Amino acid sequence: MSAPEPKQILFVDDDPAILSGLRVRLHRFDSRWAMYFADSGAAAIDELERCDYDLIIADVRMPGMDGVELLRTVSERWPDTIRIALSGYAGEKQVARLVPYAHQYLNKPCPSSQLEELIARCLRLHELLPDPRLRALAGSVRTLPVTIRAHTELQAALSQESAGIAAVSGIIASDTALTAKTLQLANSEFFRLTRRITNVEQAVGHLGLGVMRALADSAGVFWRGAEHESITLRLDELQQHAKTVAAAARSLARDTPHGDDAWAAGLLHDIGYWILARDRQPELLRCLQLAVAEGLPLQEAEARLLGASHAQLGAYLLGLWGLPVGLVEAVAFHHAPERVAQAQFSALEAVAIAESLCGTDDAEIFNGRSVPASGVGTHYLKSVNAPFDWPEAARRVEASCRSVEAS
Amino acid sequence: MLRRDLEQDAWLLVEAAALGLGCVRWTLLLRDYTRAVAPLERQCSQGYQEVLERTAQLEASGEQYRALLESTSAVPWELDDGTGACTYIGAQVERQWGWPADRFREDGFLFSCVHPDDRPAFAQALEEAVAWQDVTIDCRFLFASNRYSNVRSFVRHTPDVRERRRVRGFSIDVTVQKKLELELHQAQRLESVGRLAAGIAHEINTPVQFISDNCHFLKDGLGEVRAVLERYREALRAVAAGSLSAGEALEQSLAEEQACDLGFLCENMPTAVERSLEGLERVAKIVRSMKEFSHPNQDAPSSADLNAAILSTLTIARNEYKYVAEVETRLGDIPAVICYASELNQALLNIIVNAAHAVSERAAGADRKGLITITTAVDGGEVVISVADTGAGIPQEIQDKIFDPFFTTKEVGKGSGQGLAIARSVIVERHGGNLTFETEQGRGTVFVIRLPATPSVETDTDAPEQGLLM
Repeated sequence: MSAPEPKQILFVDDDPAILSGLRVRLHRFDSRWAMYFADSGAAAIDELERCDYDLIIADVRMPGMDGVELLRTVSERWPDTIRIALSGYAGEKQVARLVPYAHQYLNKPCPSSQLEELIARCLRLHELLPDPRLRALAGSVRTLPVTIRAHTELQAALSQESAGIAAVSGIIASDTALTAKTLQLANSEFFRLTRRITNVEQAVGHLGLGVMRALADSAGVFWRGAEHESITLRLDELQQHAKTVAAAARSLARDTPHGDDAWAAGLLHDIGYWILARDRQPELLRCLQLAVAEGLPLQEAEARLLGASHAQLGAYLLGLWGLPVGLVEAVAFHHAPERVAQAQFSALEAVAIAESLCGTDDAEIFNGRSVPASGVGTHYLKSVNAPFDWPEAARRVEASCRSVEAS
Repeated sequence: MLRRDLEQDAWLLVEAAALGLGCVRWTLLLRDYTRAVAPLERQCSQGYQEVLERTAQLEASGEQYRALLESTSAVPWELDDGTGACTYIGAQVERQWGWPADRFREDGFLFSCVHPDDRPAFAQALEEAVAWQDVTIDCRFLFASNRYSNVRSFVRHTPDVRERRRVRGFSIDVTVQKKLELELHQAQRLESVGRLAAGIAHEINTPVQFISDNCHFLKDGLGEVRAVLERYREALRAVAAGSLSAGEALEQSLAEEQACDLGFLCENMPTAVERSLEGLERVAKIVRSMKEFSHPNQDAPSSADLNAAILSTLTIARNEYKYVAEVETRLGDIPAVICYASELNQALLNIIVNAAHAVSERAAGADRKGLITITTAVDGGEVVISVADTGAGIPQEIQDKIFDPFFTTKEVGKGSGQGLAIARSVIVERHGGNLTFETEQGRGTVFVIRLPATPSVETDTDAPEQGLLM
């Protein structure tokens, strides 16, 4: 049995002492990681032109080409390379500049094993999405289309001096793209959080409205997605579906500690479609046609034509953005929860059940194309020890659907 | 002779002529002048009325002035410098300072209220006033509440009382203003310290990162080396016991060495220790510089080595300039200068940061760094520090404004516009020095600080709290 090919990792810092420190510290990973060290942005670009890197870790403040500029260039020319910023200090404005280009952030000094764990976690994501072209697609995503309504409301709310955290959180929680970006930042090392957050209000409270304003002002963080009600899908209908599943999943998980996770997983579970709607309209159309023609569930048609489903693609993106593992898993397997060897009811199970019960008509999302749905049934509830039976689940989901429609 | 005939209420001209010895002849009534005199009489009475009215007016306006004078918070007074008693003091003194006005008529009472430490300066000010100079003096003054307040007095000689040593003055309680000035000064210090703190955090985090990396490596590596040593011993024992041949032992040991990459460890462990020590020295230098920069508990001027001050200021400001400029120091042999070192450091810092910003505006986009050159030298009785940058120069139209408080060319929130104003105030007002600049469009700017080698530092009655950081 041959050892897997080592992953290529590039470190960039203008201080040679940092590079030599990293080199000796990470020496014990030599067999798994092929590590290279560049002492400037320009030297890093030369290295990237020489060979394909799986991951780049760059200092932010460097003379000449700084880290933001370097990671921006990498996002354009080598989008499948995972981008991590390692910074000694960054102010709000610098963070806002970095947000579109860095997948994850680390602070110097970064505690023992944190760097190693982050690198390993990022590289493991490759297993979720083996096709480098799809990784490049997800890797190139700086921001996702925000619904016009949420975007307008957010700008208006943040422009007021008296804006409250609850009001701003309410707007963000109504939109998948806003929620994903907010959770990405709140869970990033920049904001020195010790626990994972999946509750939007806590996330906004933790970041503070000052940071939210800086983000809203920074071009390319919250992108107003106007023109995506296109040939393949209607973003507003998809958004409505995500909100319904989120509310239903939370209501299913209400007696467990997984309420926030279930809600966030519900809101983000179809985030892969946000990416496909943005950059892969023709391919998505072909998947839809195949699903309709052959009576396949859409995710199977996607797997066949694209090499991966929207669920894998979305999960990979959320993983890149450093969202909690449970959330990433819930998104990755929401169409195939049985594949996860886990007999415990948590966010994934809540989303899978909610999606099976909420009865969204796909035809409304996919411009009149009805594709076969797959879902879980009664037997599944027992296998995961769900704290409710099927009729109770149906009751809760129906009540959630009604309240989302009413709002 | 014009007589008034009371019975007729008329004015008559009575003429008398002397006819001869002892004989007077009265010529009787010649003419009735009543009509002619009447206007005169009216004028007279009017004049009298007018005098009365004017007097009343004068009194009223005097009262008005007095009321005005005594309604302000500035207390007016006139002092007999001989006796030290006030010949006048505004009635508001009781309201303002708590003392009844009469107390100040006592000999020497005014002087006794001045804080003992400030008395020599106050006496000196009175002397100067007697010698026909206008003087402004700040001193601590005891109020009836038994607390000292900062009182500013404007004193001048009394020109109309030449034979006596009298001075007049106004005194105003400036405690609040003094506090505000101090707060503003502190605020600017805090602002620059806050901005620096971010940079210093970066400067410290970098060595801490690689010290920690190297130490982790050393920890793991030492574990491996110990394990290898353990195996060597085992092999030695086995060879001694005859259960292993020397050749086998060697082979086994070499395999062990290979497995833990002993070559890499031996090559890199000494360097890792070296690097860690360098990193620690870097942190120590920054911390030392911060301590030197903030000079805690300095409420009196002291002797300072400005070359050292420049170096420590450069260390803590490093993050402000290192990405945009190289710094070159040409420090000459200069004598120690008596100064408020922390304030002078602040002034130096503000000028250096200003130079870094000038260079960064020009360097933005360009690949080449700018240059900041700091030179010290002695010129006559003065120590000269010049800070030259290769920035874009100061535009003609703002050259006369750059020392104005709150003047800034930076975007809102980036600078308070206090930096150069404070630098000037520290150098000129506190140290009797001089701060000038020469600038050339497209070439750069040189700020020149001149300090008397033994400067007459302004005595400080209210030294600000020092030692912000450490």
